[in-house]
Amino acid sequence: MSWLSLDRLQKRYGSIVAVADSSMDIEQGEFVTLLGPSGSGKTTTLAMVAGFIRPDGGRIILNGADITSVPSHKRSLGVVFQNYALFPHLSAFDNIAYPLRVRRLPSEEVKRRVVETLEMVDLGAFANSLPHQLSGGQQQRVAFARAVVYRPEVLLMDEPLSALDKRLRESLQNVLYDLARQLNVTVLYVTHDQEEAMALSDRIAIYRNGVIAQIGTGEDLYRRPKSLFVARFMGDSTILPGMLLRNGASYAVETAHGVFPAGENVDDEMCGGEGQAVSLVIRPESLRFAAPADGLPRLKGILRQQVFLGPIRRVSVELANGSILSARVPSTSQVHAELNQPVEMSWNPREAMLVPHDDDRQEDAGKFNGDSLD
Amino acid sequence: MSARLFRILSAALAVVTGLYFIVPTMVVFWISFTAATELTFPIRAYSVRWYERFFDSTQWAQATITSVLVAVVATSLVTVLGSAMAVGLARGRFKGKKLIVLSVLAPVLVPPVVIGLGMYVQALKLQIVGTFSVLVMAHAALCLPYVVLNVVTSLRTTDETTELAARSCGAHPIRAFVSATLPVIVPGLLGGAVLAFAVSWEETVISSFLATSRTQTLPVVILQQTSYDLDPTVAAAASIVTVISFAIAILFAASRNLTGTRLRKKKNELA
Amino acid sequence: MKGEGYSPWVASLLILPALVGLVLVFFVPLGEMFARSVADPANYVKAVTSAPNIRSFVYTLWLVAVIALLTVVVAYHWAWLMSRASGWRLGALLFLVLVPFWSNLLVRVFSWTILLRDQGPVNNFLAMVLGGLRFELMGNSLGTIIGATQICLPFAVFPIYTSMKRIDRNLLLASNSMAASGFFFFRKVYLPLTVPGVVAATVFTVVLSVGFFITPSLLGDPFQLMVSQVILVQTTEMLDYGQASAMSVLLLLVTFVFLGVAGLFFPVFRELGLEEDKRVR
Repeated sequence: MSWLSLDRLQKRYGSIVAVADSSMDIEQGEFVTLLGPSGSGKTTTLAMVAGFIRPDGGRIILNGADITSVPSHKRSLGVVFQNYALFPHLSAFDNIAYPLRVRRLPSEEVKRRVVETLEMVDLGAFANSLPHQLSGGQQQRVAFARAVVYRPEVLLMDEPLSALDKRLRESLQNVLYDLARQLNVTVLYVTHDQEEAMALSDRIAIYRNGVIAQIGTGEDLYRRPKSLFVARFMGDSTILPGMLLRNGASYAVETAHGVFPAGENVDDEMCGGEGQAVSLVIRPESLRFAAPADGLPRLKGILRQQVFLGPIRRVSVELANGSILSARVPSTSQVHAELNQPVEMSWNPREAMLVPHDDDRQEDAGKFNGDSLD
Repeated sequence: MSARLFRILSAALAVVTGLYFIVPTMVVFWISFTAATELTFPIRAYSVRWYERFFDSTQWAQATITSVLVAVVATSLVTVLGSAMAVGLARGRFKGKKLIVLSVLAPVLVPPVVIGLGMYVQALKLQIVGTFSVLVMAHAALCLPYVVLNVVTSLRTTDETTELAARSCGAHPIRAFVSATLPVIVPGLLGGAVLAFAVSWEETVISSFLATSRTQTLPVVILQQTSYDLDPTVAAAASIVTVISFAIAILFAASRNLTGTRLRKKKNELA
Repeated sequence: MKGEGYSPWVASLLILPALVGLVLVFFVPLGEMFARSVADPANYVKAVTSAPNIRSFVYTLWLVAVIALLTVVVAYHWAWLMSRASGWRLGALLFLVLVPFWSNLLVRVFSWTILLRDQGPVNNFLAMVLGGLRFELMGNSLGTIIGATQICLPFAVFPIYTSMKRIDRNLLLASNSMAASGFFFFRKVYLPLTVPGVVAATVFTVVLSVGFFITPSLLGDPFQLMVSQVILVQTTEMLDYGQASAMSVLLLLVTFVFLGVAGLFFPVFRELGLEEDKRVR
């Protein structure tokens, strides 16, 4: 049996559905990220697990016990907020000590644990500082320390790094990663940044319109997306919509630019069989300038942009029907092409992915934007 | 119109307006020190006898005590109840908030004569005209909006997340409120209390309706005396009332600046 | 993350004591007054048809309009000065506008009675400057206007000042770079942006002055009363509570109609943060 189980959680606000079905099973010590665009239901799900919002349906089971109706201060959780939520009038030490004092631990014990946790987040020298005297990154570390000082069963984090600048974010990601594993605590992490999700998590659950579109490891989602939405969310790609063709044991896709092999992750069940509308998805790093007679499928277009970005060159090609192909070519590649000249791009058909055709403009409709207080 | 002419006119208007603001208040101070028995300018001789008169008179003394007591009791009552209401409004989850806010604002919007008339007739019916309690209750109703508005706006600047954080740390919701939110609304609460005291201290019309000779507040006595002629003791009384009002104003400014500038200064140090 | 706020039970516990008190002390008396006024429809007939009553309503509205106009113009000027000032200048301007705000209304009106007399200092000054010419400055509408404007000014200055402060300085620079004259800029850009503040100021002034009682009593025309004075006379001298109540109700009606119209321009609830709130972090 899994450690933490979300069983068909739902939340509605009037006629707007924030979470339609949030279900997943999480193992102890696992780091799971809830990923998705804003309004997709990931934050609401987290708030329900935290006990800040009551679900309209479904259950939350922790270590065998149903905690759905347990008030949040009785769930043994740690929560880290996007805006730190530190007590402004208390020092770092007192902030971190708060959960221990609330539980009436003896002051010797409190002191020991707080000092230990302060060391863990490398803020030993700042014990007596007030929050407004600390930088954003330092405040977030205090918030983290406060959440873990009493060794909660589950750690919930709501976009804790999105208020920080990029470099700080990356260094804190490492800190979080190390600490989470060191403490062996189960983590539910919410973010809209797929790179961050991949850097930190054991598994990622992608939310869309209040349901989980797909759940798996970062690599699962990146290389074997089950929908166009997931494919696009996990990274840049070139999308070729078309129709599925069957050629004996192998599949192909007939697109506006020609017929191409369908890639590896095809099965009838997923794509509904021959004649179905599908999309071929090619990641930018899979595309190369075509070498003559390499036997690889290729796309023809006009080179519109070529930007040197250090390790890679970003290449944009305008295809015959006006759509844009984006590629990332190693900058050490010897092939040079000229702007606004015809060019051919090819790829290894095994690296392409197939997903059902999906009108993913839906994600703008019915987005949950916040609750009314009246 | 040329820019220079505009500037001159603007400056002239500014001076006149500035005088317009200050003179009525300052005149009372000035004229309270006259030695003459009438309130006329120019003042030929100065004396403090009217202040002595004020402190000697039982009527003025009683009025002062009444004013102070009513203000203190009404303010205390209203600060507690009004703050609770503000918290309920800002954090509660229910419909009909707009109606409640409108109701709370009503005492400010309704003309004092109308309020006075209504309360007077009601008090007559209940035979409580002229009692201390009716005065306190009337003042409380008038002061409530100021406390509620002040605390609600200070709650608006705080985030619920700190309170949620306290709960997630294991604190019972009430304790979470006390730990996280209460310290932040204290300035707004104090500001509201000070405002409420000021409103009660200056209230004239309704108190006149509800007063009898035993429960007159200072403004009521001043009003009476200005209708008859014109013993300069009134000026002394008016000055004293004004001094207290200014003291309240300074308190209010202090309570506003208390946490505000301290935090702002620290932030600037870091930036 | 947002929470769900306090449950309706907890909210009721917090709100009801004050609310019940308010209803009992404030709304019940007003309700009774309303009931009394409609008990005898003759009250309203008298209130609306009797010549002195009609005169006092018209007079009140006219007077309030004049006061509002004067107040808003002067307040606009002062607020404009404040918006461009800083340091000690701003402090001084602020101090000056706050002095009347924190002084007792009665005390100030009382001062005006001393200042505006025929032989008072203002007339003495005018006589000196204008060669013996004296004016009747109190006991008439002018007295009320002078007194009332001073009372309303602080309430008018602050909303206008707030709306002026919100105007981006860069707009003026942009306008200058497009070679627009100062007056053109003012008319087309600045003035429209301050309209919310002006509306708020007008609302405050009207709501305040429509109920003025002390000011017209001490400074105004003893033969032309404002509505609030009429109500008092009906109560204390004529002992006609019914009619006084009817007049009060009508006065309230006028106030609420005005507030309702103004409320369309000014989002009170949003400012108080009691509506849907998407705060920028």
